[in-house]
Amino acid sequence: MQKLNIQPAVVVALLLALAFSLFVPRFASLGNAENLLRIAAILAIASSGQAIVLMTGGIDFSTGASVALVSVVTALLLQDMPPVWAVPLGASVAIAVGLINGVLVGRMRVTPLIATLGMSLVCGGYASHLAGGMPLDPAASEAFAWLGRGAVGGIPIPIVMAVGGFVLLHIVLTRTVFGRYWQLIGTNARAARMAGLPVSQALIAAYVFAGLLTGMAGAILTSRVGSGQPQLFPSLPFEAIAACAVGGISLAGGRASALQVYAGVFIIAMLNNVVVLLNLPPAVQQITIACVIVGSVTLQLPSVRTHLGRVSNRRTTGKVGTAP
Amino acid sequence: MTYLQYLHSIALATCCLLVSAAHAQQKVIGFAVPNLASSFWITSAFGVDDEAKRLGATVVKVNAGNDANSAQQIAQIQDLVQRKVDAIIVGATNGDAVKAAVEQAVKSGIPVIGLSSPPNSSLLAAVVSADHYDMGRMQARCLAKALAQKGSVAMMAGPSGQLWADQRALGFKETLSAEFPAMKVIAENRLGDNRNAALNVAEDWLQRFPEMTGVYAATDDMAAGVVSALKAGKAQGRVKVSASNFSPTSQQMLEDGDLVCTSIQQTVTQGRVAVRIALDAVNKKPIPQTKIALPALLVTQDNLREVDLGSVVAPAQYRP
Amino acid sequence: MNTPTFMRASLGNPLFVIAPVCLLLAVVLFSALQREFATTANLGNITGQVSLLLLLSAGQMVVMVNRGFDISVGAVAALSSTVAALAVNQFGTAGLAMGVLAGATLGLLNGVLVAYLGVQPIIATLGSLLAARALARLISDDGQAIVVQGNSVLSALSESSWIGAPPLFWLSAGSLVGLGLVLYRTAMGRRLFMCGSNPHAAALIGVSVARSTCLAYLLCGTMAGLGGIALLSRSGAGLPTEGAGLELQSIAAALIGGTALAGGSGSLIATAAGAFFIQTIMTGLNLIGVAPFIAQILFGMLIIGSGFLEKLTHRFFNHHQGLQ
Repeated sequence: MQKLNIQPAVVVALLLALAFSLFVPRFASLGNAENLLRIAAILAIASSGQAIVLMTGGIDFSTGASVALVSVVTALLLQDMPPVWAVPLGASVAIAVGLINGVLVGRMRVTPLIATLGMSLVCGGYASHLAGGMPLDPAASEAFAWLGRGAVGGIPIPIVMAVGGFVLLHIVLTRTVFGRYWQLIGTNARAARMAGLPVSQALIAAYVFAGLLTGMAGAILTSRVGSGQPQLFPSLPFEAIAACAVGGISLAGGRASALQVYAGVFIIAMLNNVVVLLNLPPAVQQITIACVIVGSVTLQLPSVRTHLGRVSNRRTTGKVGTAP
Repeated sequence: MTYLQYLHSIALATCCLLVSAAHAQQKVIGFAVPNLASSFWITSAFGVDDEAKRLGATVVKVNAGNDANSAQQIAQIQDLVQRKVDAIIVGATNGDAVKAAVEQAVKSGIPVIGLSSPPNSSLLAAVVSADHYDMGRMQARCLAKALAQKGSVAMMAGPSGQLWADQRALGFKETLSAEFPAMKVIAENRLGDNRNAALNVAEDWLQRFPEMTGVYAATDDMAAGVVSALKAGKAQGRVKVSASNFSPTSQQMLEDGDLVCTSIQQTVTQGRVAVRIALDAVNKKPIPQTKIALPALLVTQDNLREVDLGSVVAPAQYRP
Repeated sequence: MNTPTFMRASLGNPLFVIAPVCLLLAVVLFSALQREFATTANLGNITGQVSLLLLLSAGQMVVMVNRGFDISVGAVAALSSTVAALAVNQFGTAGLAMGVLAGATLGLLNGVLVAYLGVQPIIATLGSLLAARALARLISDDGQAIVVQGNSVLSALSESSWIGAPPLFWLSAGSLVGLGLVLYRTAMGRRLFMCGSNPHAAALIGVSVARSTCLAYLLCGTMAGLGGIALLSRSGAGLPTEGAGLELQSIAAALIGGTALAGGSGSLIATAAGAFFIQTIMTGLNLIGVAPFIAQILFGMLIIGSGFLEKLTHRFFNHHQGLQ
């Protein structure tokens, strides 16, 4: 009998969505859902990059500074060229940052935390320096705002990109050789090296791919706020790491799936949305987010999963005590 | 050595002495800034830098990086003392937290001037202040005028625990309750302190509060985020936004009619005054006025042309 | 074998040499660039400035030895400084103990979440970070600093001078020595290293891994509580919103000090050197008076540089010992 292997994070996300729809006023309205999904889309693309790095047993703290640099460079480029060139060129800055991260971690074997922390300071300082500290506001234009505000067939662009990102991530993780390598490296880097895997190249690829995804997220963010901001999204790495962890991805490295990332992102985005909708005071906002995050992760723990698995098995096969 | 060579070397030596003496004369002013991510402090820094350049002094700037990095700023003030600067201008992260470090500096013979966010010490040589409460009050009055003195207002009030944000918010709230009782505050957010975060919160507000007609923003950057959300939600005619601080961002928003007003400080001038007083203190000249409060200004679309931009905003190419 | 563990660790493991070497290089560099750096007054200054980071890094090292990390240390220090300020205003100097207790309580919360509920350290400590921030807001009228009314003991701690350094530094150093005694001289401490090194093996010989893990986080929380006292002493006020960024700095200090992220290995002396290294760079850059954004870029580069040195040392020593 085919066993349904439902990711616990997905279950939690669906349960929370249901609970919030019932008990939080205006959560389930079309307008709110669109806002929520747009913000979740940006976080999902950024978290996909973080998930890849986490899989390899690393961590990427430079994403916040990287998107800031993308936005500042894009705003500067918009002074000389139309958005159709400026936006992709600006986004490619994040790929360059990813390449540097990859070389530092993959080839020079610097600890990922140190490498990406250092890069976040360097990129942040450079973004501030380029912009002179203050936001750079390019002239408003339809083309520039298209990424953040436009829609295709009624569906906002960020959401389309996030869906595309999901498919891309899933294919890369499950069907390409790199996806396999990253998982193996995360599980045991030394064994992978001894088995002859091209660890350095795979790591560089991981960080470059993460940079590509960060660049996409940065482009959407820049278009959304319409300016070059040295402090665009300082807490992005923390939110992305939290989303991945809530989705069930281990920070020690190893397996990760696109579904886990997106489920975790959805949970975090819903939480951020709900605490404002409920108009909670800031202290209560923080405690609520803390409790839900810790609670939803606890629900996904092996011991709890075993219990849930036994319950579901009893229902599907009629047998009790079967190992899940 | 011939007589001519002797004269030559005397002349050279005298020139060198004069140059080094002039160099030794050049005063060094330390400027402890809480947060160079804010247009307010970048503009202050410009005022300080430009005036110092004009008067022949050097400026050493140290940036705490965040309004809530008092431990950093304490260490930075101590470092300025170690560097034996001639005077220190301090924009405090927290006036109480840096008091001890500032008093150590004064006791070691370095005069300290408070600028905009002054340390809470009685040993300061002078205080050039920004009246944040007044800025909030001005926003209340202008927003009330735009809303015909009634309506529901949400506040994007900036980080709590920071004097500038708290004072502006207080000024706004108290003026509103005292002078415009028909207006009420329906929400106050203290966690959305950059443009992107303010945008996200404002979008949620549009969903949650269809009755919202006005938004108070602690800075023009936050206001820009709110305006973006309003435009996306097609609500910009319905909801009026007021702000504080001046920068190219608010200038554009006023011109486009997206912002009803912004209450500002003559930030550049304040920086200049602080430097002048610092140099007076260093040169042991008497300081006639130890508490200088330049009035706050309200800038709207109407009087935008008359505002002396040179006193309120730093030029685009300036790098602190 | 009669050689104490910590000496064996210091002499045997080349990674622990890096932080002192980095520190030495930094001191030499800055002394050459700015003559006011190498004065006794400035060095005394640095010891006062580094006290907070010293305490936090030491606590961080303990949980890293146990295969975890703690991102709540900054928020806990802020909370404990606020609690201590309120307590001192009520009860006098004895109130400082309340601050340490607050830190220990949050450490215990972390420990229970990680050790007994099995939550990933990143999530557990993220939860307590948010909880600590929320609590600090609640007890301080939404984030206002709590000024301590004229307490001479507190100000003397950071303003007077015992042999060139403020008493606060000696107390911090003393706390580190105390921590070292627990780690390297007691069975409890040895068990911590065992569990970090190989939890399965430790469990097989009857060590309670859960209890060791819980203890690690408790110690870290206590050190963060002491850090709060340091913060209070230097600023004369409880600062509920302080501490952002300190957790990354403390992790960086521990990593530069050669602590292995995978657990089981760590040296307090090297970690302390790592903390000093970070503080030295910050002070050095301030003294030189580099433009603030450029200073940030340089800081990032120096952090990455220390990461290089680690790998160079590793390669150098491994070559010489003929290992892979």
